[in-house]
Amino acid sequence: MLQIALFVLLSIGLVIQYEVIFPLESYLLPASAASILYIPHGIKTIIVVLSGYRALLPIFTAHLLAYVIWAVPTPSIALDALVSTLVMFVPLVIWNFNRLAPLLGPLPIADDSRVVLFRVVLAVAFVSSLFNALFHTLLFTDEPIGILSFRFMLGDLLGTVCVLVLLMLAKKRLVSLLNKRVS
Amino acid sequence: MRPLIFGYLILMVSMLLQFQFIWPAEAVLLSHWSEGPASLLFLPHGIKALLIVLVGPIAVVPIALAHLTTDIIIGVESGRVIFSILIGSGVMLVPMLMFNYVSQRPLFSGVLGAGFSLTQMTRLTFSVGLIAALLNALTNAAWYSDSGVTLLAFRYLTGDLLGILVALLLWGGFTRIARKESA
Repeated sequence: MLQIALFVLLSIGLVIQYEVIFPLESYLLPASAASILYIPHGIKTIIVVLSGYRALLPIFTAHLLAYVIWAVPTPSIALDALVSTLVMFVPLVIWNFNRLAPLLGPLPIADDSRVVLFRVVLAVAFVSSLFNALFHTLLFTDEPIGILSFRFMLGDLLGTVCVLVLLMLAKKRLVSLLNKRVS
Repeated sequence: MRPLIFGYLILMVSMLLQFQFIWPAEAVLLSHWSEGPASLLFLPHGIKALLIVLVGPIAVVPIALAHLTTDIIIGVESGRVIFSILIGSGVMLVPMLMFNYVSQRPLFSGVLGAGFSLTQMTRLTFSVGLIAALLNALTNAAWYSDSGVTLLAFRYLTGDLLGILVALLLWGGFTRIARKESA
């Protein structure tokens, strides 16, 4: 059940990206292989941090499906989906390696502190964006590492900040709504 | 102040080893590899990672000074000197600040005297070094994007990672000897 929920969540992010953000960008900005606001990266980071290895299959299948549906021009759809999935787990492995914890387990988030979630998600998003930029530029584009790689990174980071801010706002509203109902 | 001066001296010794022994040896033994500006074994990266983890982000001072001294001695052009100082120290600073930020420790603290075990310290050094190596690979590959050297970013990454492994082996040997001496 959890994996289906994660798949649906990421699919929503991918639909927003491909149907709203990409068309807007192609209208407003010069054409590029990288988006400057990649919402799915933020969603992927949060679900990887919170659910660990259980997010592996939902991320891979959602990417695979998105690449097929929107006919993404890539040398190999499966390899692209695999890279987009695996780069998310590298920082998770690094963090768990440091904590002497199971490598693919979820990261502990204190329930009462949103700052902790914010910090962990930002750090995981940053490290995975580095791997993503490196591998996507080298494997799937003909350009040398340069502006494009940093654009990949910027897109991933802005996407993550955007999702986190939305999450925080939604959480605040949800809590205040619940409080009103209770009182 | 003493750890910083000591760190600077160790870093200068590693730079000397790199430029006087490792690079010439690579040029003779691995003529195919040494076509680009990246080394297969960049020992100073490992020493920098160890230094910043032990002393904390203040270690950027000896790191920047060591880069400046080396670049002046070998006669690098001024643009590259500034790049080397900023990137050489900046890439180490970012992951260390990030680890302190995520683990809610004082931002400018190191692990020296903080109760870290040798295993924890080794793992943290490897993680900080890995993220720094990625940042270094991306920025240097972008700087040399017109060089035409194939997979330059991966060459930087390999050199830095092997440098970390050798530095950690040296550190392990050093601590073992120190323990035997004190026993």
